[in-house]
Amino acid sequence: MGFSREVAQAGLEAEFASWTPDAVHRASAAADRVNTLVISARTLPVSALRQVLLARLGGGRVLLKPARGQAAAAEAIAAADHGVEVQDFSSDDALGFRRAAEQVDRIVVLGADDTIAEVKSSAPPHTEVIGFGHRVSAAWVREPTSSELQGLAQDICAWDQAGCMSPQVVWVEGDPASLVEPLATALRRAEGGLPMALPVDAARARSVAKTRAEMLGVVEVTETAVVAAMPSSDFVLSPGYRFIWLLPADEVSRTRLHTSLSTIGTNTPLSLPTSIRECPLGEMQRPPLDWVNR
Amino acid sequence: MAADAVARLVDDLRSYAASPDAERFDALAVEVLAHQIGTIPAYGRLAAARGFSPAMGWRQAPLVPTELFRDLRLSAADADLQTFRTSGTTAGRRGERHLSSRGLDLYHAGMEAPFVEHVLAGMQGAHWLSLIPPAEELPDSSLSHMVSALARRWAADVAWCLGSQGLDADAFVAAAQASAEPVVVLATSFALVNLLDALAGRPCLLPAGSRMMLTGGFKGKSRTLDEPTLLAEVEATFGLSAAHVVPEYGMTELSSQAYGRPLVANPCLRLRVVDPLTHGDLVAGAVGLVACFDVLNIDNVSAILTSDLGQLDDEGRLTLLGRAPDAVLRGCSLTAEELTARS
Repeated sequence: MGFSREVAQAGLEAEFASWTPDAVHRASAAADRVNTLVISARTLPVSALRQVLLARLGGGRVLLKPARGQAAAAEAIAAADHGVEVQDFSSDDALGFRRAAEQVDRIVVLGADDTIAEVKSSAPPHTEVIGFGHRVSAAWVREPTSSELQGLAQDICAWDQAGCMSPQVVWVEGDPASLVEPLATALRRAEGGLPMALPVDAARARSVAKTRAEMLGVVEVTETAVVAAMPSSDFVLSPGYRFIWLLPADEVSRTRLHTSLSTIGTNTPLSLPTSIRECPLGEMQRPPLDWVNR
Repeated sequence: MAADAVARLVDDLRSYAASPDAERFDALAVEVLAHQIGTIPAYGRLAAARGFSPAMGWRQAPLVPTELFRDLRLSAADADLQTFRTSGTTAGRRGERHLSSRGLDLYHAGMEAPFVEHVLAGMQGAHWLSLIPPAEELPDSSLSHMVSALARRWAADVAWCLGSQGLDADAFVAAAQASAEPVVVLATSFALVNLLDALAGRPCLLPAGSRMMLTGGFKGKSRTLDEPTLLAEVEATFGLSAAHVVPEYGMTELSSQAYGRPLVANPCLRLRVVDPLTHGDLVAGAVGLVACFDVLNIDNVSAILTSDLGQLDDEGRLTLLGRAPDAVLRGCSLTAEELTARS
């Protein structure tokens, strides 16, 4: 999938850290003994891994349809656990889907809204379908300390900002431009242990975003990342690959995004709907095992 | 730049367009860049952020991706006589380019000679058949503006076969059959494919010696054909060989055009192929993003980064190789399209 070895390793270690004895005990108690098809349409490998392992806690079989580019990871999971079987049918292979779906009691699908809807509409009757859709995440900071900025830098570098729990923007209470240099410094420290190569086909999107930021705001570039402070508080998607927007904090802009928000990393208490996970900076890509990202 | 200096620069550019002297290009580019940095605030800020000064030369000028014309004003404040807009077939807002009378004047000054040389090739005063709507119907289309302006100067008459009522294939056939002399056809790729589909294999042979200017992509408005297939269908239907079908490369964001196969730039335009990561020039034969520097784009930004992939040959001629692909999606974050669909 184009992640460096260090990024993949750090991501896996963060995932396994959430599998504490207590968390596993609680998850086991809640698990059903059902056979499950996990469809990993587009997601991070750890998200698919978590769903496979949670399903296996109940003792049922798991069929795993890997996301594009993740067949090797799926094969590795299957090799480690004979209760997991890889089913690598393509997204337009209706027969392959039906064959897999008919073997299970539950389908867990990780992907876009339309993918989840399609799976729900084509699943056999009486088969439970659980969808984990795509989301976005953000950070909200108030006078962050250098260690909090270091945590934010880790959140940005984790999985190269490709996860739905990766911050796309940071809403800053105060002047966003004042955080450009300190955050860039933190990112330089973080990226030393988490290398990333920008793919050629991602360069143009970064160039568009960076040029816009240079025209309207303040920009600093590190070896792998771009930090861009902008004058408007309106949410804007990052082109990814460690490009972070710093925006003036604004509750209206944040509230407008609530239905699409997964996680907010923050160093100050916020009043968020319970569907949105609020966590300390540095913990954005470390969701607890019992948190449901739907 | 003082008003009299701007007027002098415009005169120099007009004179250059009329009688190009490659040795003057670099010096003109320095003056144009100084003007743009001083009159287009967003570009001035970009130049300052990159530490760029005009004396560093046009190859070092910060490139502006064409997407930014959609939501930023990249035109001088007094450029308000004419607004051209991109076709807007891709997601999001349409790009805008604003022109003053001096900018429009330079646009006209640059378009004539290359068109006459490459497309007309001695056919001044011929009958034209246009699959590009006239400017009266699409006043914000730079292509319609160009074709209408050129028609007034060089065509005996024009059969406008595409307009607000859609494609009129019968009018095209009638106009083609009415002329005993070679005709000039002007078309976008998608309009041409739609005409071919309307003709459904029925030949519409054009008088021998006829020529065609073909521009643009398909933009989801017709089926998509690769160039050899399209040229084969054109030859079978209209009797025009590939040598008589002249590609034109232009865009709303530019004043100048390139013509031919491979594309030869108007002397006011420099075509580059750059590394997508560094924006540095690539050697001949290497594939990269197409970048342009248009010295006539005085009201706007001259240094443009397109989303086209291309390859230069040893003589600086460009072969287009399609659009640059977007990065493969990975991870579970919402895309812009998904986010828009939810809002």
